[in-house]
Amino acid sequence: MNPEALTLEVRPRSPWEAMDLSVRLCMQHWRILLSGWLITVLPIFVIISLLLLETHPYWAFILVWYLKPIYDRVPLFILSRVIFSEPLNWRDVLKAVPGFFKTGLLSSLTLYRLDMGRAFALPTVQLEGLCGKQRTRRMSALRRGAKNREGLLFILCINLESLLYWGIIGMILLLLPTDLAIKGAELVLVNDEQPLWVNALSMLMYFLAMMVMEILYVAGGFMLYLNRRTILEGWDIELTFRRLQRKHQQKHSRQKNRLSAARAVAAVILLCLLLPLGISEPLNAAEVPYDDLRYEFILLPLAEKKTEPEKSTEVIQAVMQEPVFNRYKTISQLKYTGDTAKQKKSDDYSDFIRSIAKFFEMIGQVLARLFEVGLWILLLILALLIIKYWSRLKIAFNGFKKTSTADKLPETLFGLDIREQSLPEDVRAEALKLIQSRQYRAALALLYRASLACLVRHHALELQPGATEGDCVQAMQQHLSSKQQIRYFMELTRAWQLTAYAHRTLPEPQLKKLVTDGAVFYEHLKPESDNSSDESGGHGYG
Amino acid sequence: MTQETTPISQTMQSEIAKAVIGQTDIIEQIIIALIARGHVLLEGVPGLGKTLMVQALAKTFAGDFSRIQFTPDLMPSDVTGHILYDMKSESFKIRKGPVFTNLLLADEINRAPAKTQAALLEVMQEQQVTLEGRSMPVGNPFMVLATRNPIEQEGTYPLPEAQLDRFLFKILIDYPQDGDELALVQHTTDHKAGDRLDVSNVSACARQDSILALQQQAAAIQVDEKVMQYAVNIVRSTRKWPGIAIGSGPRGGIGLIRAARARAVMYDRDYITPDDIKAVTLPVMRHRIALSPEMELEGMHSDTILQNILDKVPAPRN
Repeated sequence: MNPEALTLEVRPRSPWEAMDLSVRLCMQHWRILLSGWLITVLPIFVIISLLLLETHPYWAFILVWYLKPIYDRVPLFILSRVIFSEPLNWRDVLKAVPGFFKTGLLSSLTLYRLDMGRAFALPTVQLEGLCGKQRTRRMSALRRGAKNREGLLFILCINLESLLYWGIIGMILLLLPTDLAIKGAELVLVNDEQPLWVNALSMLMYFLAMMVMEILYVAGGFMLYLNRRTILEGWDIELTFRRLQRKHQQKHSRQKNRLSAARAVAAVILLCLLLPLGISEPLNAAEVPYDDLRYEFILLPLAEKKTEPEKSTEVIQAVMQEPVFNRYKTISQLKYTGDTAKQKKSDDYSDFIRSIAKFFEMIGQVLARLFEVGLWILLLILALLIIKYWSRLKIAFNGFKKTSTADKLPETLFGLDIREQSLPEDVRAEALKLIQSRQYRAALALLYRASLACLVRHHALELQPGATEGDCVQAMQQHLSSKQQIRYFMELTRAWQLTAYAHRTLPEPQLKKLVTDGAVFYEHLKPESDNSSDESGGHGYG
Repeated sequence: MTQETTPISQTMQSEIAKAVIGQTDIIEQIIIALIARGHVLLEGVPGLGKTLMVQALAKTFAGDFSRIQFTPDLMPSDVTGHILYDMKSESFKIRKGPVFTNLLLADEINRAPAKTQAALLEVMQEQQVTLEGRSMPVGNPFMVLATRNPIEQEGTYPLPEAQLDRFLFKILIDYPQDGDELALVQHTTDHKAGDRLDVSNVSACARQDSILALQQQAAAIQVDEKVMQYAVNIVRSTRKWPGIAIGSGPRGGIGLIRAARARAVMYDRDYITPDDIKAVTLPVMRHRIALSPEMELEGMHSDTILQNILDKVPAPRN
């Protein structure tokens, strides 16, 4: 790395200033950063969404989040180039993609996945190519005695990402009409099972929030890294020396030129004067001052320094021989050499202090033990609470596990049991039996319950808890196309309403007709899988 | 769900529709209120045919119709009537106010001060007026249709909660649909000079006693206990629902059952279903609840909250 080629002003900064600088850097190069990100990361996002979003939406979110260390490499690659003013376009980014998988990818996805200083450590892995112990050593060197605030950067970015994500969703909801916004908020916040489009929209919002914040996070980490190296390796001092060297060289060359010109004139004059005498004396070349040699070593790039250790040793020795390093000064000062009586007294004091220290140590040990016991009690209480509220926790975690279609269906509706097991094998035969035994209400209740079960379980008709009979008919009219089925359900509903709310029943022949007509209804609603289950002796509706 | 309607209410609806183009739901709700012996508060911007609707309704049953334009200087005696000393006969004579009628249109009721608004209270509740200690019944059937303009609030007196509670329905009148508006403009301007309200083509199709008979019929309708419980559940839900500062009182539940019975009569049934309750919940309840300040600030409407309640309160299946 050549600090001189940096487009940034190289000087030690506070971590906050370095983070600020990263934001400015991102603002300056946002086009290439965003385009590079979209070209490389968007395909991963699309593939994950296509594969998992419909069936396992939670896993899709988790996977997109989990692969963040891979995405981080894109902005770092771009930033590491643009700070040296290297021309870069999206093709270069694409070409560089295979290189991202060469170093430290596995460890960044496993061991260091939850490392808060991920962005700070990334340059050592990706740009310096260090891994394993070398990486650890390097990172401990960079982190030693420094308050890099990389953890705070992480916390800041993760919070801003959440804020941005919910902010975008909130903004969309605010722009919607109130009714739609309430429904939308219910879908996003309340409903456990969200429709695909809601998941897709949430995923997209998350991707957008992540895109902005990951770039800023990586840039922040990179700037902290550069700042730390500037401080540790004295890049600013090095650059100052280089400037001095350049200035000195320029001055020297100007003097040399002037001297050469003067010498040329003098030579001509002397030649003219001395020619008759036949005297000529050669001129020595100008000598480089000794100081320049030292600068030359100091200003050599780090790599060069490493390649010539012998020369380094020689020059260091030469430097150490300089008078400036060999100055000696005699300093006088008073020092207490001791009085035995007082020393004893002092020892007594020391004993006293030691006993106090011991006492406090003992108290500390007791407190530590108490604290330990407290922690164990707390752990025990926590375990008991988990056992007690396990059912609630299970519900909370249910969102993370895949639920089958059968699990999603309600077991009861309006207080009616609509499980297949709760219905007789042959609903119509059972209803007919009830009619014959003059239990008209029970017969109608059975038919109505079975029809609701059919609609909900086999046609995925979604009904609110507050849906009345009329609402059910309306929902069915919108859901089914068969006029026969709709007419039958309306007749059944009317008969049921008459029985339930007017406490009157239809004449027996009409009830029997309802049972007969029900065949068309149930046969039409019965899916193929049900037919097969009937053949195998499973539960059917009639 | 389509159901057959009784000839009288159907004819009344179609007669009113001759004068009022569109607004079929509003007409139905007004007839329900009439059958339930309730009063209606109509809220809508000017020019949506509120007065026309009331005039047409009065004409359908050949009833008396009065209109009071509420203004800030309107006195209670201007509404109920007063006693005059007759110099000729040297006796006090009662001069009955406009409330002695069958249909009373209280136009822009919020423009009069609370004292005058309160003059309507006794009439609406008791269907009688007390003048100089004498109680005098008003017409039968009697119905107050008050209108209120939601946009001009300057110089108005908001109706007290006690008075709002007296109204069975609060009906919101919205702008007509595209096709209806075209028909309305054509109908109003075709061979007609000026913009006078025209109810000449509305004919009387019911007598006053037939309206009273309908009211009696509605009162006699049986209500299943579960349905009544459903109505009560809805009312009770408004008292603890988030976003509602003040829920409805028991009069809300009474209103629900009365209106549901009238609706059942309209659809020629002698029993009510949860559908009837649900259908009348918004007009019955929207003026009986007060939203919390946060909801008001967010511009939330009480209808939205009530609709949420209707979605969540379990409907009975008996």
